[in-house]
Amino acid sequence: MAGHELIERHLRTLAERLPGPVVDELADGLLASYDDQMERLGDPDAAARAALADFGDADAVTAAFVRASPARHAAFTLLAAGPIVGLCWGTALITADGWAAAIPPAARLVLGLLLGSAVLMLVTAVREQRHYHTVRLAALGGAGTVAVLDTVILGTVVTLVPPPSLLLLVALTGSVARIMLAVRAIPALITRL
Amino acid sequence: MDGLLLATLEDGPQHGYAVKEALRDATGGKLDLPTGTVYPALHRLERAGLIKGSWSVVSGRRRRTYELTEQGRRSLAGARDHWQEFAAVISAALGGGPWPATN
Repeated sequence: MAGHELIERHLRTLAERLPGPVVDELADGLLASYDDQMERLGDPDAAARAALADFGDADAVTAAFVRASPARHAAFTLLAAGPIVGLCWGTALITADGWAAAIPPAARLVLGLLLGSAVLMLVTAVREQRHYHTVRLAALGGAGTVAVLDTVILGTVVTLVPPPSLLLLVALTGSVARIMLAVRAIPALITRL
Repeated sequence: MDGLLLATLEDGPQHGYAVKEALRDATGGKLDLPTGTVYPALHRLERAGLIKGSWSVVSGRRRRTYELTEQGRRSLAGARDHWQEFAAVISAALGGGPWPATN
């Protein structure tokens, strides 16, 4: 790739943080800018510095991609849905007529671990600013874990055959809606940049 | 911002750096965005179906070129209408003239 060492170094930094096709596109833009600056300034070092100043630093460029990423948006949506669905289940379990006490300790442990893992991954996806791959993987892991968590919750409740109640119906609906949200997000997280 | 980017593609397909340059030229240099931050905005517009990207190879480099979709043209026309209405209202208010009639 024709260019300048400063340009190459900048692109290597971006390549560590962003997907390959994105880096190819950025490389084209940065090298086009370098060519323009070479025509204007005539000096390779000055042209490289001017092109890099015009391009923006790696942190700013990566953060802009991360902010616009579908993975971050999906993670934010699932994270926002968490307290709502959690509140529904909390209310349904607190007001349950004893059936909630029959949930086996092993199931409680699994649910707790899944919940903690999902929250950790989704928070990582929302907070990470510098590594696009991390955001994507964390959002994918978080969405998958949310889908498994809600499926385990539904399976556990159905197995216990609790007495029907409006609160339980609302909580079940919340979990089904969240499974659909997570399952719809997963293909886009896998295929889209 | 979206309307400005769409407007740069109205006359034909452009790659990211050319979009940034067109925006700077169209505003007499007053709007000179960092090149690297134009690309995420273009990707967002592409995901929204307002522009369509395609790859080619130019001077040995992979280049992604964008063009407006029909939806993008409609969005640009809408953005223009909204801006002209907004500008007319503000101009009338600042100029002390009568408020323009609204629908």
